[in-house]
Amino acid sequence: MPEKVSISSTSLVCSSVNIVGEVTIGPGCVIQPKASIIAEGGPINIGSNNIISEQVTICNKKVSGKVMNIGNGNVFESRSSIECMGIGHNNVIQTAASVIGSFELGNNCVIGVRNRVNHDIEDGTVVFGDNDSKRARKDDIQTHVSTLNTHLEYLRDLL
Amino acid sequence: MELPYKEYDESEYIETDTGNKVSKKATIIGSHNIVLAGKTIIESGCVLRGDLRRRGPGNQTSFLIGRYCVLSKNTLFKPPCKIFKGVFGYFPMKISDHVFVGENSIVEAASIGSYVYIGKNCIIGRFAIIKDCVYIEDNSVISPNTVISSFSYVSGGPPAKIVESLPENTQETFETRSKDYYIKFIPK
Repeated sequence: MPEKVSISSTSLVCSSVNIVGEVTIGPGCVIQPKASIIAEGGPINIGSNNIISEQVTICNKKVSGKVMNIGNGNVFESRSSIECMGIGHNNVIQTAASVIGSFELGNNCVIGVRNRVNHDIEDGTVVFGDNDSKRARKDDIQTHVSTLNTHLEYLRDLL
Repeated sequence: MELPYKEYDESEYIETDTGNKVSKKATIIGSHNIVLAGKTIIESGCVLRGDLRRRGPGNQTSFLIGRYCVLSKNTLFKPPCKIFKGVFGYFPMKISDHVFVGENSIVEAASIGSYVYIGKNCIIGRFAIIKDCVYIEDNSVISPNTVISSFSYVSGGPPAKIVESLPENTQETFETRSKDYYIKFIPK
C-alpha cells in the first residue's frame, strides 16, 4: 500500500478494496469489499461516517487536477459511480446510480437507482424514476442520520 | 430453444460433492453462512456477501440457494437490511430451485421462488419478494419491497411493471432450460 493513503483508525476498510493515489479517509467510515477509490487526477478526501458499498467507484479524473472532497454521512450503495468534483453531506446515492461531471453535489440529495446526474442540482433534491425526474426531499434528515448510525454500528460489530 | 454447450476452464472451477460448480474467481465472503443445495453454478466475478447476517445466536445463514441455480458473471448478491423492532439487521436471502440470474445483475431480494429467470443488468431492490414462475426482462429495475406474483412477465423500470402473464407450461420450460444449462456446462 502506498504511503500517501491515510486511513483513520476508527474507520473500517475491508480487504480487496482498490485504493490508488492520494486518499484520506476520515473517522468512522465503512468501506466494503470490491470498492475502488482512484485518485489519479488529484487527492480524494473522504469525511466521517460514510458507507461505501460493494463495487462502488469513486474516481478523481485525470483532467480535474483538484482535490475531491467528500463530506460526512454519505451512503454510496452497490455499484454506483462517482466522478464529480466533490460531494456534500448526508447524500444517498443508490444502487448503480452515477454522478459524473464537473460540478459539486450539494447536501441531503438522493440519487435513485440507476439515475444519472451530470449537472448541478440544488440541495435536498431527489432524483428518481426512469427519466431522471426531480423533486424536493421532504423526509426528515434525522431519520437518515439515525439509520446510518445504527447501520454503521452494526457493520463495525460484524465485520 | 436449444442451448449451446458452454465450456469452462477446469482449473478455474471447484466442483463439490453435491454438484455445485463454483468459480475460483468469484468473491464469496462468509462462505460458512451460505447454503447451496446442489447443482448450482456460480460463475466468475460473482460477489456473495455471506458475512452480512443477523446478529445473535440461532439460525445464521445469510443465503439459502436451491438446486439448479445459475449465478452468472459479475452478479452481486447482498442480503437486505432494515431496522426491525428497533434493531438493525441483515436478513437472509432465500433463492429456490431453477433460478437463473443474468450477467451484471444486483440482487437484494428477500426471497426468490422457483423457476425464475432474471435477465442481464437487472436490479432487484431490497426485500423484494419474487414468487414462482416469473420472467424478468433485461435491464429491469424492481423497486424495494415489491411483491411479484406468479406467472408474471416483468419489464422496464425504474420501477418495473408486470406487462403480461406467462403460459402454464412455464414451469416445465424453465426446468428443462436450467437442467440443460447444467448438463451443457462442461469442462474443456
